[in-house]
Amino acid sequence: MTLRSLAEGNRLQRWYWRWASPYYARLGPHAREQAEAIDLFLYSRRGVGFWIGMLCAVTGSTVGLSMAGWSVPSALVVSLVAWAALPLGWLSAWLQPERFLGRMRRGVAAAVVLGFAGALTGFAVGHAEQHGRFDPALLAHELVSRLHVIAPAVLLVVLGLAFLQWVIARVRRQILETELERVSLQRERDAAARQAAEARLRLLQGQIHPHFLFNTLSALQHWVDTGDARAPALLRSLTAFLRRSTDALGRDGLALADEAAMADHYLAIQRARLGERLAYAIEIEPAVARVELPSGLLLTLVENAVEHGVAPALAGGVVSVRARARGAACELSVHNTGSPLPAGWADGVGLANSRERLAQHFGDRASLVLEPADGGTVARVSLPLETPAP
Amino acid sequence: MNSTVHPTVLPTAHPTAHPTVLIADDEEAPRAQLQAALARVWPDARVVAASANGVDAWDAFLEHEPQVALLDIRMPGLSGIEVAQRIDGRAAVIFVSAYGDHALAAFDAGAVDYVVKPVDDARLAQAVERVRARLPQPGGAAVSADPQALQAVLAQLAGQLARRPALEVIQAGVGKEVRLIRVAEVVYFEADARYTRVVHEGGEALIRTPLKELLAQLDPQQFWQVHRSVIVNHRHVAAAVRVDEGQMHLTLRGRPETLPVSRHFQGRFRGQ
Repeated sequence: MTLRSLAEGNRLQRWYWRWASPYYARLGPHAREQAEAIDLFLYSRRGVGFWIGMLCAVTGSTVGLSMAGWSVPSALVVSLVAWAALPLGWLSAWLQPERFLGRMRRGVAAAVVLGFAGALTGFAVGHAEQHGRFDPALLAHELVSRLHVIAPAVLLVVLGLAFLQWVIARVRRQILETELERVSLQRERDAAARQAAEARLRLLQGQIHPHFLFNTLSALQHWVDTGDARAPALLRSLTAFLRRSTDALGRDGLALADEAAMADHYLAIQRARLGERLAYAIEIEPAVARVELPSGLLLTLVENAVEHGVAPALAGGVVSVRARARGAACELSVHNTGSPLPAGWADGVGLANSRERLAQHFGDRASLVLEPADGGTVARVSLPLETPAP
Repeated sequence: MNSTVHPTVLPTAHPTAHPTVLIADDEEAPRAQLQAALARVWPDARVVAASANGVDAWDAFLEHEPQVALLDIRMPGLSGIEVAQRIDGRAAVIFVSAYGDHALAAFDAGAVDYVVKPVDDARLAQAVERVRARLPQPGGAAVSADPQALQAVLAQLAGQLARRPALEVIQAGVGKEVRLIRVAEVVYFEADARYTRVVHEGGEALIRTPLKELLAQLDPQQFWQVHRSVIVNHRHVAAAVRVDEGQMHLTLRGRPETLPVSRHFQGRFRGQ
């Protein structure tokens, strides 16, 4: 069984965890997770290799120092301190690179001071052991005579260690930045996916108006009850319309020919309901039949033409859908002769959505305008003919 | 002039036991369905008109003076709400509303009887029962449960529905030319066989638009309907003269002719 946290380990591990947890609390959530993982590694069976390595390093440096003339106890103390301090410094540079890099100058200055203090102490201890007593005058004399060797050596060691630590912190910062970039990229992708889903949901709400469905069904019900010959055709149109609009829901874009077929079924249904008050015509040039447009766009314009144009007009009206190629653009128009565009008119939800989705698909290369025409209203859409690579 | 409060005019011309009903819906299927459902739940009722828009519904009301009106809310010309405002309590109104209509929320206040399409027999029977209970007996009381509350709800609803812009210019063919007549300069409109006579400050002209359709396009504050076939610009009215029991006519400023005011519209003219 692998241990999940030191808090659940043996007595020693629990004791260590209790001691370390206040330090964990000071770290950020990400660094804290790593610190805990490192500790879990070090203070369980998996960390045995590290401790063996540390043991070898301490032994090696103690032997080295004692051969250089140090007494064994002093050499051992110095080795222990050095091998405890170095990994701790590297670890902190790894866990909190920003903190380390932010205090670079102060850190290096402190390291130089400490380095010199350590070297001085070491020199004094070595000197006392060599001579069997502590003689400040003799020590000062020897120190001055060897300063030209000691000073550059200490400085070199301290700066070298600081540089090592700086490298660790920089590498770590680089890793964190890459990670952050990846996360924010992922977040952007998620947001885009969410927007697309919301657009589809709006499309769903926009296309299958419950009142449209209920009113159509209630007309159908009546004609079925009375054995009216119009019932089968209306049922067929409704089924075809629902099938097409359900298909369109799963997509972001739809070929103009498919949109026109959907609009055709919709108009057939409305024609059955409104009777002779509604007439319609759809003309799509073959050259633009495959042009892809935001799904439901044409249907929204046709719905508006029927509901706001023809239905409120006493004499009814004609809805004409036309699409043709003109230069590098596809021009799509939905005209109704029912009602002129009222003054002070503003975009409804359907039209605002249409504009937004056109902009998403084509940027500023597409346009949608609504204007009065021949006693009625026309919606004109202009799209680039070549479809952009997805 | 009559200075007493004008009573709600009762439809008195129905001596038979068959209450008269007006039905209005712009779609044929729900209109037929409503008529069939009404025949099942209220076999005594006699449908005097089934109109396909608000303009025809109002005209049919003036012509037939039904006791009950079943009105769809969204209709071309005049909405069901506007027709009910004009009926002004002189018939019991039951609104017929499409599923999901926002206006339904206001109806739940209780001042209005309504049924939802497709009309369910049980629900229609309920609404009919409420209306029958307050149908005028011969020489009886008003038909509307609470006329003021009803008018308040109707005014609120009418505000919610999109209002057509009022007509500003009329194009009238006179010989080979088309004259533009500013609506503000019109004195009165009069239905004349298949045409409408437009009498204005600069003369007169005939147009093909039926009077009942013009009515829906005129500003009701300025143009008052005073008869099924007459709409007058109130700025040109000099006086309303009560001639006889139930008879009234208008005299105009600087014009010799008089215009008839039918019973339905006499309530508008009373001394203050």
